Amino acid sequence: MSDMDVYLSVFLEEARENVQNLNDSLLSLENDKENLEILNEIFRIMHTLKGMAGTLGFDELAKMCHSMENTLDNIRNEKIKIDDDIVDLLFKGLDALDDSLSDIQNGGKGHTDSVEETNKQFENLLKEGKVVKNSEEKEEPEEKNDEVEPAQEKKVENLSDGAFFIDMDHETKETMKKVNQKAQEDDLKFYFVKVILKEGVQLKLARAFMVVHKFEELKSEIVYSNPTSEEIEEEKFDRELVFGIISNQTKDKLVSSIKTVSEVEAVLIEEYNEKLFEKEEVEEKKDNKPEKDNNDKSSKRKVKTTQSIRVDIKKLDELMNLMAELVISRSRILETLKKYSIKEVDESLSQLSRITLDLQNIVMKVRMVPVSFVFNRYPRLVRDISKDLKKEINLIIEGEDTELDRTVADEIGDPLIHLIRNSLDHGIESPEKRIAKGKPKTGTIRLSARHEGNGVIIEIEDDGKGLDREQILNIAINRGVIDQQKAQSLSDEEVFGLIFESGFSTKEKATELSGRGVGMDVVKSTVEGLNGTVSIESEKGKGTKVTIRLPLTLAIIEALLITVNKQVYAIPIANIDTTQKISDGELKEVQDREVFMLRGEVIPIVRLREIFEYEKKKNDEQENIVIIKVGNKKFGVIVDKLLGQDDIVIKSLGSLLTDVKEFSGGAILGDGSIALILDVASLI
Amino acid sequence: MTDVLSFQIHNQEYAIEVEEIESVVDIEEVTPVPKSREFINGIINLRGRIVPVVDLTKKINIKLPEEHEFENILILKIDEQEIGVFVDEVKNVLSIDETNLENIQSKNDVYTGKVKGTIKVNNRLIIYLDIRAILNLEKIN
Repeated sequence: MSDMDVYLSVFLEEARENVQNLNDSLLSLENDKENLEILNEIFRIMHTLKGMAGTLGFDELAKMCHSMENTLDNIRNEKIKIDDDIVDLLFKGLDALDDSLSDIQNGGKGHTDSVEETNKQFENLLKEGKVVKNSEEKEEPEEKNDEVEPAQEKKVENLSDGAFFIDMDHETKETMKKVNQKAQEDDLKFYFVKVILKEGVQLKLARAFMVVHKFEELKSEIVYSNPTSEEIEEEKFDRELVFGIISNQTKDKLVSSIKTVSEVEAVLIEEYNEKLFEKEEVEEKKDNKPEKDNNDKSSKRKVKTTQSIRVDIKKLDELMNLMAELVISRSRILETLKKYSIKEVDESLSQLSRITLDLQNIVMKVRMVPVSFVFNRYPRLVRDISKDLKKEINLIIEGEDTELDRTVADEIGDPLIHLIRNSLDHGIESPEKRIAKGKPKTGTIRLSARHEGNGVIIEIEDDGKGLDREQILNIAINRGVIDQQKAQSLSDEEVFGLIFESGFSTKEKATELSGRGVGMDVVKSTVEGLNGTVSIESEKGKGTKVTIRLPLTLAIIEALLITVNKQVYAIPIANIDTTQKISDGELKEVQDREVFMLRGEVIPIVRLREIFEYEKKKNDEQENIVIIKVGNKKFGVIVDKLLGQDDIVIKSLGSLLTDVKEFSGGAILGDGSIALILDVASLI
Repeated sequence: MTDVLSFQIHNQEYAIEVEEIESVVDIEEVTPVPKSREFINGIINLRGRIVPVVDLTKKINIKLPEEHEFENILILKIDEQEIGVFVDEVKNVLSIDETNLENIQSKNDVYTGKVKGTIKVNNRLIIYLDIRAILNLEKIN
């Protein structure tokens, strides 16, 4: 059962990827309807998906793919003329596929109403376009196969029964010789087994694993494999797998056992002999392979392929937690040993520190995903919404390679959707209005991501009508977000910030898009929950830009430890510009605010003792000041003492303390005491 | 029947549902959190986790003598969230019938909406606290 679960999750992941690729390709096809290359690509992916669904017995899903495939085929054969309606229907089909996959994920058979309904529509289309003969339906896909994968056909012919040859370098041959000797000593047999999977095999990876698993079940040890296990994991192999195994089983037992794996076409087995490696004539076979790969790549080039293995995010979370504990333990050891200052230990300690740091960086990187992970669902979203709203939109996506923590990526998806919807719904004007205003008919939404400092910046910018100060103020006053008197004194920036307050929505009339339960206040709280910030800039008539700053990772940060009234606090290094000692005379008072001149810049000052409502310190000659940088603003924070820098693990303070904006969390220090982490943005 | 744990603060006995209590720990170093609400005394390091500790006397207006020092922290676990409560002494677990509680009208509304009733056992009168209401926690389900 658990084996099946594994294959099912592989299937679901792959199927989802395929649906995503279909979405992407269909979007390109919509803009370039005559492009046969894209059409072929869509066809190919659809065919793969159908095969996968069929293999696992999800008939509804396979049937749906089949109708869509037929439709595509008819388009390609010019039996149906592709138009917007058909593209819409195809998109609808993809949604149905997605529904079906969700159903499967939830334990169903993939049968949903949307599948049934959409499938009917496809069947009607096929009938009405009545150029189709029903009988040909079945053959279509097979024909296609020949075209797409001609290389494979040949290979099968090359396989004579019985004997086979293995290409390996001299060194490996020597190793194999030794292995054989050892096996003989132990009274075991050394076999080479060649497994050939069926043509057009789906879930190659799963099949390969099942074969390996069979060997393990038979207590046979795999000593050689071509492709290598890494290549198998990365699915970098064709249909042939060669294994060298040490076993006490008979040939027949092994062969019959492997044959129970589905989609295995043939199993060849030979006992070890040197002749196995001698012949070179099979070379030809190899040549076919790269060629096919190239073809694949060129037709796929739009889809970014990263080679990877799939790891359960929970495991990564565990890894991160352990990493965090390790960091704490290291700090604790350092703390303890400081008292003794032993030379010999110093060296190994610094090595430990270096290794921990490297490890920490790697663990952090492992959790990173490119933002395209989130961004790639937006083109489709924008297309659908703009159609609904009858607006013309050009969505530009930039910096999709920018990486960020998987957890951050997961969380930020929905807020971004909301912001994009907002731009579409309220930002970009209708084509008529745009023309009347002398703007290009097509509106532009630019979604971009980039690294900056220790974080990631995501921007959503539109060239729509911009925010209306007066309108926002009116609504804010009406809904009681702000009172009338205060309203007029606000800067534009502050006014625009109001739309992030809860209970605020600029929607004057509800559209289909609104009422999804996510408001701008949720956008803000999500971003802040991720230790990020969100800001908005806008110019009336010109457009709006929302900027989201996010930390690269959530768990471990570098911080400066300081004290105030004997309590230790932490300030994230990322927020610190410099630290300085200043004497009393250097502080000046301007408009009832203390300031300080740093390299000709006027820097406002805050005193933590004052903010925290502790007594003033007795006048020291010198004050410690930490210069903080938030966005492009700088200010100084006066603290009691600077303790030094440390890696800290951020922990939440829990819901009872969410009202305390001064702290973003707490960290447990080496000695077991707690340092509160300052949320510096809240101090000014 | 519901199991409750009774404990003493100053000269009054109180009770909280056992369901919502995780453990009892000795008092340890409490890190103050500036700017937090008055009844929150600070945070403690509970086996690597940060847990806020509250002083109920600030919520139900108990005047403590100046020299008073708490001895234990009751660790509650409410909706997966740990919260510490200062107490003087933990007494015992009682099985009570929630439908059979004494209802004593609070004189100056200090207890209004914060108690589920008064438990009468032998000669003891125990105030059965509605801890979620006191801490303003949204009740889930």
